Amino acid sequence: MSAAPLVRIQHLTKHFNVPGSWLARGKGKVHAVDDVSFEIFEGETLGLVGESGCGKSTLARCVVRLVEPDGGAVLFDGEDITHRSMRSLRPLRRRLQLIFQDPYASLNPRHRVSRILSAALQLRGSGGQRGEAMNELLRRVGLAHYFAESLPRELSGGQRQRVGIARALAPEPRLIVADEPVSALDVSVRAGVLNLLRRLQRELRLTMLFISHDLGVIRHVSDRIGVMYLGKLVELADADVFYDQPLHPYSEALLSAIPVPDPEARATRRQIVLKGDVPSPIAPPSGCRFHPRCAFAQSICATQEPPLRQHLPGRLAACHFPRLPESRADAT
Amino acid sequence: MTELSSTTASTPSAVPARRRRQGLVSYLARRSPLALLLVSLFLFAALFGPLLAPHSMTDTDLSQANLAPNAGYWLGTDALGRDVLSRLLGSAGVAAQAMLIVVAIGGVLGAGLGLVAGGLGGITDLVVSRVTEILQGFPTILIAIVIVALLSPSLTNAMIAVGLAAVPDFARIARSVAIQLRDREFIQAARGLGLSEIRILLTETLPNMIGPLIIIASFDGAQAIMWEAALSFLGLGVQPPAPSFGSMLRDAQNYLNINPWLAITVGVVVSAIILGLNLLGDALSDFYEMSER
Repeated sequence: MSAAPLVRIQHLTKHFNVPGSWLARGKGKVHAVDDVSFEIFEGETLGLVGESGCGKSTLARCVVRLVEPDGGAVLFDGEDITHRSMRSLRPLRRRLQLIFQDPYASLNPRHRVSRILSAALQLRGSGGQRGEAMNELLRRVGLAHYFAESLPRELSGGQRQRVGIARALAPEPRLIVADEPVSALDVSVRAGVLNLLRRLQRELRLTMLFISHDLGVIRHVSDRIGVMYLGKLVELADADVFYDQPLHPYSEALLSAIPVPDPEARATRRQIVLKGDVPSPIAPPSGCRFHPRCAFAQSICATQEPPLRQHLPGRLAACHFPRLPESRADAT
Repeated sequence: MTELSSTTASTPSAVPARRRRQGLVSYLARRSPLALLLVSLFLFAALFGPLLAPHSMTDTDLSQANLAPNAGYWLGTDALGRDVLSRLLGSAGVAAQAMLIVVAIGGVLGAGLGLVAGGLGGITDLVVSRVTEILQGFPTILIAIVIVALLSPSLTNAMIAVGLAAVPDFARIARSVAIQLRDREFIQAARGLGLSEIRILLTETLPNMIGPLIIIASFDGAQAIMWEAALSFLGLGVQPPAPSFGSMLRDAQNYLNINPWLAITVGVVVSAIILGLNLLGDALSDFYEMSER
């Protein structure tokens, strides 16, 4: 893992106007992504978790520039791509690919697999050898070569997602953004696709931004974990320490919600049940967005927004009262 | 990071259980045999009418005028002694031409406009939608009369007018399908591959709207036959002595009490063709709805 960041996200912001009559226009905005900054280093996989609606997918689409951010910057390999037009982005598309969530929606139902993949292989430039490249791709994602002649409807969900992955790999990208690549799949198929992604990570030294709402899934593929809540990045830490000792109370609650199969271990574990629902992203709470649901909130939390800052080496959290080892000891 | 144990991780080697789509014709035969029968009879008559006709379509023979159906003239003769069956076969060909012209003009222009409007959105959509709405505001018959008056009464001119009037139908459907498709993930995926918007419209969006367009084509085709009959009835379409449903009906109205067979046979044939095309449209829309899932 080299030290150069491949992607640098700086204060990224994306708002959506709430649809309504033209009289009420401008009244409401959904704060999908609000002032989020992080970096992805060459060769690493950054896992991004959060509840549905917290802005993960919008963030993903901003990074690959299918959506234009409202504020902040996206730097890819040092190049600012925040506001570049779709046309001028074309040469960069080769380097930036997205794996979609729903393999039933992400493949054109009228195109055969061969056609879907050759559209992606075109980005490599030079013609020739395309048939060979296609077989190689199919082999890579664990599909037999005869699947090239299949229509998407003839494939199962897992097979479709493998085609989606093959399409993302086809132009030999430097960054793959995987937007919930396994959450639309049956549990039985999920493991297969996850293992495939891990194998590809290792073999091709991929840099990935892996988005999921499932901490269990993300653990298997990520080097670092980011946690999002209501459009904000609230924690960013190395995967191995994160699962043992999350700093942010929200991360702690999320982790405690993972079911533990062992009843004895379950008995000893403290489960944190969050009260209330996720507040509306149209009118997010003042100060720390998590404070109305936080067990450790104090008066400062309602007024001052905590910045994302380093509390322990390599572990960032946006919290006034992070769950540092010493404070944890006090609480229990 | 730990390796997940899984049986599905290895290369799936088994042949996939292919969900074969049922063929269109076999579906129609089961879902709506009447539609298939009527429409194929119509197309057969349209294609081979001149070869099948037992008598001349235009030669008059006053000694044989206004006959009821008999062995020599299966559907009788008209006031000028022309064979009704032969003239109906000829009219089927005219009706098919009318359908073809209308669907070609309406389909190509309408689908193109709707595709661009719905696919690109924004100002393009606004302009195209308003233009088609204005076009829709004119009654078909008015457009037809103006065009025929400017040019000359003929089948082609009348059908160009009807085709123009059909443009908004196709445009509306194409636009709404294009809008539905615009945010589908496979379109975003194509954008993510850096394809140009035009190419996305042609290769990704268009193939997915063929189904709805064919459905509209079958309904507007039926409409076209009715308009052809109406315009020829008014003398704005096919000119005598050439046969067409409309001109045959116009001839028939003068002899309703002497020879009601004329009006009845022509009316039944036209109704059957329209019914067949409408049933076909319904069956097609069910077929595409089913195969989408």
